[in-house]
Amino acid sequence: MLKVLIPTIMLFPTIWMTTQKWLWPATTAQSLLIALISLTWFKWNSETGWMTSNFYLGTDQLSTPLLVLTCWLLPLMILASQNHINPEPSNRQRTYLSLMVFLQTFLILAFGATEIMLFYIMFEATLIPTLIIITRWGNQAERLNAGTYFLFYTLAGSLPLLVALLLLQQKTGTLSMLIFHYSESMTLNSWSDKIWWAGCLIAFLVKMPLYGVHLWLPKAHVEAPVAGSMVLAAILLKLGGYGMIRMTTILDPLTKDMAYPFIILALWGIIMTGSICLRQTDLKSLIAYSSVSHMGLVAAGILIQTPWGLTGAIILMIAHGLVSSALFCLANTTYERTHSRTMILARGLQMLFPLMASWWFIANLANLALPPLPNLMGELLIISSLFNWSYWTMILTGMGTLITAAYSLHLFLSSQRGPTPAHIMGLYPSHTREHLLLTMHLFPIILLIAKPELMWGWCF
Amino acid sequence: MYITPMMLSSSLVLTLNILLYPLLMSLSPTPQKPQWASTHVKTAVSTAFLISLLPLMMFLDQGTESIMINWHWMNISTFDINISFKFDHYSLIFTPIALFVTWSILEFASWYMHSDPYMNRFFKYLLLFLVAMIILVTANNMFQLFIGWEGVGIMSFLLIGWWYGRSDANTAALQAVLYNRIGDIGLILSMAWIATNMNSWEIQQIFFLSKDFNMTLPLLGLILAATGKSAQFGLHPWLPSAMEGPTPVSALLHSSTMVVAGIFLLIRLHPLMENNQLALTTCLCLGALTTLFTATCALTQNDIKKIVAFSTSSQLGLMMVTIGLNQPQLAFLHICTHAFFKAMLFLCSGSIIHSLNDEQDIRKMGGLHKLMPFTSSCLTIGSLALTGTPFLAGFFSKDAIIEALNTSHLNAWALILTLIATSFTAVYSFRVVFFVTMGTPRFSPLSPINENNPAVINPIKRLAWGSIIAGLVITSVFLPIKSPVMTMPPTIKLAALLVTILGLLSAMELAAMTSKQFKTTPTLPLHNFSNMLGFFPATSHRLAPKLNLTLGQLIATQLLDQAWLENSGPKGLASTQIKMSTYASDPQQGMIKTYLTIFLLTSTLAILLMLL
Repeated sequence: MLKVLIPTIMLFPTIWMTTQKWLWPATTAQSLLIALISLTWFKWNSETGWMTSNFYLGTDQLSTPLLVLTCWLLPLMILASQNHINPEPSNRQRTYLSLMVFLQTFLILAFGATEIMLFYIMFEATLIPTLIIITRWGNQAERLNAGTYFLFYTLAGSLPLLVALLLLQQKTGTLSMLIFHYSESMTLNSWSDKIWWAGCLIAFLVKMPLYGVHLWLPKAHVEAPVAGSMVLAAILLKLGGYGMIRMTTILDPLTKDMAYPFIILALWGIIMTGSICLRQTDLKSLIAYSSVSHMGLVAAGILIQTPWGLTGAIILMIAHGLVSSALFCLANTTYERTHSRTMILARGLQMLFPLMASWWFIANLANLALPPLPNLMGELLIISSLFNWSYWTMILTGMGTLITAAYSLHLFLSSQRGPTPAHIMGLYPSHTREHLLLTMHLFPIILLIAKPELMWGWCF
Repeated sequence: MYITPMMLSSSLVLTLNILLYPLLMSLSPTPQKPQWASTHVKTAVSTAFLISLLPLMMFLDQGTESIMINWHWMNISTFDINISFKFDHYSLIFTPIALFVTWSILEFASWYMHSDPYMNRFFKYLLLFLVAMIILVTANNMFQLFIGWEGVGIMSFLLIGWWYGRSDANTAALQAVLYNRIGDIGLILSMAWIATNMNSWEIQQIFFLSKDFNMTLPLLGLILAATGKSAQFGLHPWLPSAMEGPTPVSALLHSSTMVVAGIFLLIRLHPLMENNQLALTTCLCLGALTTLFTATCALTQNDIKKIVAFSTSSQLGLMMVTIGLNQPQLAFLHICTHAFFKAMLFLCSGSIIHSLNDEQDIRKMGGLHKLMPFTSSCLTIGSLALTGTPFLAGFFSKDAIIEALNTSHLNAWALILTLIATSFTAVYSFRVVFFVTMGTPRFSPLSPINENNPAVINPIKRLAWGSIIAGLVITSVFLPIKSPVMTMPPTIKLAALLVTILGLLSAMELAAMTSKQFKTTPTLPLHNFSNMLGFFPATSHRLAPKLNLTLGQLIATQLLDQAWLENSGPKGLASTQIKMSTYASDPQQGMIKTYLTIFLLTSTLAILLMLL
């Protein structure tokens, strides 16, 4: 773990010591090296499941893909924000980079933690840099409102979790994930136990976000600068899924009955948010709502507690992390040129940016789960396990796939196809940096087709 | 190692690799030469066709079939997913046909699209379309089949929307994908069901395990999938809309890829449904309804491509009927023969459209048999083959289907609908031939009519040969598994021909009236029903998206997200807190004297109380 953690922390000296000229290349290179080192976690040769563990940290099949995704995303965030941060004074650029590195450190600690309390603290700590990124570097005045929503929704969910965790600590005597499974099972039947169950999960469901408590997400996504949107969509939402998978192992007897309303909300949310996407006029908001819809599927997959559901959830989290982040990058390339997120103002871009159009196409295909992309594997596994749980879920999930296809292709058609309007003729061409950025998003997705076992959790 | 299976598998793998070569080549960053489309893509397809003849010959001679498992792709605990190919009689026969037809279409496209700046890309898409279809046909695994299935869907999206500057083309492309997606729900349902109940997606294992299960639900899912892909009634509107694409795309889409994929899925998985009466009856009735409905729509269309498109839809309905009759082999036979003449009909219409300055309205054609003798004779051959004229390709499959239908004791309603549709085939085919080739020219005198180009003549000629002899060749080498009823009363034996001739005669009678004033006020309702496509697009085709979009706007966005969730959540909380905070802050007005006085007063009182 420290092989990655210490170089990540050493990014701070790199950021503050290098000359302005080398600031961006040096940070990008170092973070890419960190991402490279993080790939060694994929080498599983242990029987126990836990690897590279020290006193507090460790990796297993569930956390490894998420950890690698975290490490992979930092260089991408740096690449993506280069253009819009560059005009600012040097110190602010460095602060911005430091915030992202803080976030990465917290995230590595959160995913790597073997102790739930450490995970909880890091889970909360990620709020701070994200909040600063949104409220300081957002583009409009609404960013303050978005920051408030972001903070209060998440906190309102996660403070009960603290109480629930303390209660758990008192009951079982430990919060270590390593020996969680071996603690004697609790008898949970009173009302307060049910409230405790809800307390354990609601924090994560808000973070996912579950439909109904999702209002903070579109706001935060829309107002955040590109790096904020990327990290929110790619990783911070996955903290919720990760936490749920970890927590449900101990909540077992209650989950079976208690999960019903949440599964229903999640599935219903797929359709509702999908329909919202169909009528969305704001590019970033559309992508944000599409995230809510996909995360609904993940939440449902986790809550029904079958091996296939869990595997599908992990796959979909990783695949969606890369794809939605790619979509936000694409939205940002358009935004940096047209200075508007309104979809109707940026049409027919294929004529101007042909290569960009093919990135849009691939990203949208991945978003609508084209086989054999990992997105489809995840969706198929979740849909299968939901179908096994109840045949009727097929109506909702099936409608969901239909609507997903509709809005993804609508997004592609309306932004790339059709005649180019006259007012956007004078756009400057796309940078190699942007193409590199998108290649680095979409290439892993395509490579993962060949070896999806890397993100299959315990089903491997 | 025996030589025959080795040759069979290796030549098939070679076929696939040759097709993949131009695709891999196009990944190179240096731009391809302008003639890359003809030199590489077309050559790859024709070479692949020639190589695929080898396994076909071996199959015809010795009956060699094989299943090939190449690579263990992934496993989800105990669930294996492999890359495995199934080279059985279906894929061994279909692959060469698809390659042959595509080869002709590509050659034609090199003439039709010669002025397109992105011709190489166009060819690449066509090739990818073909590869996806071959993956689908040779797949021995539901997941692999699904890759091909979605692959053809997405490639059709790109190809139908080729002229993406036009909003009609984009709409048609979107329509195709969305209707197919509805079908995909069915396929996903079946896959989920099979995965959870049988724990395998390998097709032969599914066949083996399905004996113990009630397969109705997954079969209905498969039928829904085929309905979407093969444009059966209810999910058919995308097919005529797909005519927005360039004509070579329509030819490929309608002959050997995409639309037959749905029927092929049912043929491939037919052992699952052969004992399930509900599924079979559903197929039968759905097919009969489709074939009649779309044949009716074809009657009064004026766009030449739309007529051909509706005739495809009608033939697809016929194939569905055949599957409902429990005769998958006949359906497969019809797919094969249909591929030849349908591709040829499209190429002929493409040639005509191009020659008449992109005119598609048959009312503005006429007299072309003098100006384009070759194309119009091939158009006639194609139409004759389509109507099932004896000893042309269509006859061998169509007549056999109608005979099987007549001798079965199944649904008479379906039988009658199919027979009416068969006679309609003659009517609309004759109408095309009549309007396009006969009579006097009705187009502008300065049309650039020229069919003297090998890239036009050769493909059409090859397909014409195919339309003439393919039926005979395939039926003589491809023996039916189920023994057909051969003896029957003359009226039943001749039923298909009789209704066709009946249709032809009435069409000729109607055609004779075109130049006479028979009725001053025509009876329009029936005509409108047919011309407006049964009012289907105006009603259900429009209603569902409208409802969904309204739901998205009014309920999901405005009512729930912006009103209820906001007001019951953050805004509601804020407004309830405001009152309390006003109460709390109101007393604190900064009146320091009053505060101090009260402080003094209360502390004195407290001290007094303590002292007392």
